[in-house]
Amino acid sequence: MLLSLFLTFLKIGLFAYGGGYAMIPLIQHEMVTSSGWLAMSEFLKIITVAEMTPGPIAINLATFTGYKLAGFPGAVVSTIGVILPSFFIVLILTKVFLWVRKNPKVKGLLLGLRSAVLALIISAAVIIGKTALLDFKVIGIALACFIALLWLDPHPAIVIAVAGGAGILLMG
Amino acid sequence: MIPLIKREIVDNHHWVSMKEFMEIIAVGQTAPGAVAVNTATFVGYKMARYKGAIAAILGVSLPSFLVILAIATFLLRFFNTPIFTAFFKGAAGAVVALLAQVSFIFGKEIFVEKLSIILTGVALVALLWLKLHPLLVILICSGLGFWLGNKTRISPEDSLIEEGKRGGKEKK
Repeated sequence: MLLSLFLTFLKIGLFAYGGGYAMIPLIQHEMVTSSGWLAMSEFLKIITVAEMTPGPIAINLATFTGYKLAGFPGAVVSTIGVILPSFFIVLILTKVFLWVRKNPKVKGLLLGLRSAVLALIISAAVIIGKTALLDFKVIGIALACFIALLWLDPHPAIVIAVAGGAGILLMG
Repeated sequence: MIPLIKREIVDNHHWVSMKEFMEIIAVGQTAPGAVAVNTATFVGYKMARYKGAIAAILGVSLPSFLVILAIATFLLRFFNTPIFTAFFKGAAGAVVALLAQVSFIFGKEIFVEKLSIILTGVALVALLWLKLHPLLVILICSGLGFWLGNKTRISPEDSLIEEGKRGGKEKK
């Protein structure tokens, strides 16, 4: 379990272009859809806590998912797994960055990568939306949050806390 | 998180100049994983080579790691109580809204290139209808970008540095 957690997060860390949000669809695919290690509702709780906790979402997601599946050792290997690819790629980029920046082929590659990541995040919104937005009250909360996010751009932790409070008021 | 990093390493400690900071953010967004972790690696390496990079990574990840562990240890047992269940139901609406907002912002940023609109569309079809593996979709889109990036004209200005500037204004 520990080894497969480590390798899974290594893989996720290697492909999470775009930071923590890019990791959500990848973790969802690895942990919920293909292995069934987590139920969708459990995964949603992990995202909620990861968003509300200060610090990089990528680290929060890895630590919590690892802890949930294999306790403290799971948290350690998952966090290390998700950091390692960033570490090595940044070290390589510090040496070849000037070349990378000017190469049109590399630009095209990054463009393709970013497009795929955007599609991944949209698909995560669709897939998570299908399981979360079953109740018209939750749909209302989601719409209100979306409008607030686009207009006022508040910190995600505040949006989640307010939405959770609304959940307690409406459904508690 | 980026303004916070800037205040510490540029304004307070003068470890890097503003120009270098932009470059760091650009590298941070080119490499996979959390921008905070990537920035820490880059600055740490610049200051004290590998030891510096490792120290900086530990510094940026440990607080998140410990906070998540504390939450998991002390609060996990309450997650199934009615009040937490209602909280998480409401918060799930906010999570969907956040993913939608991130998609929106990210889309605005990369859709300057026609190629990325096409690639995102292709990736969405591959993910939601064909149910291809996310990593396969990432590889296909990067490959297409790599191949087509040379043929279509990618914007004349240096897009990576532009991203660095935009990144500096973002909150996270």
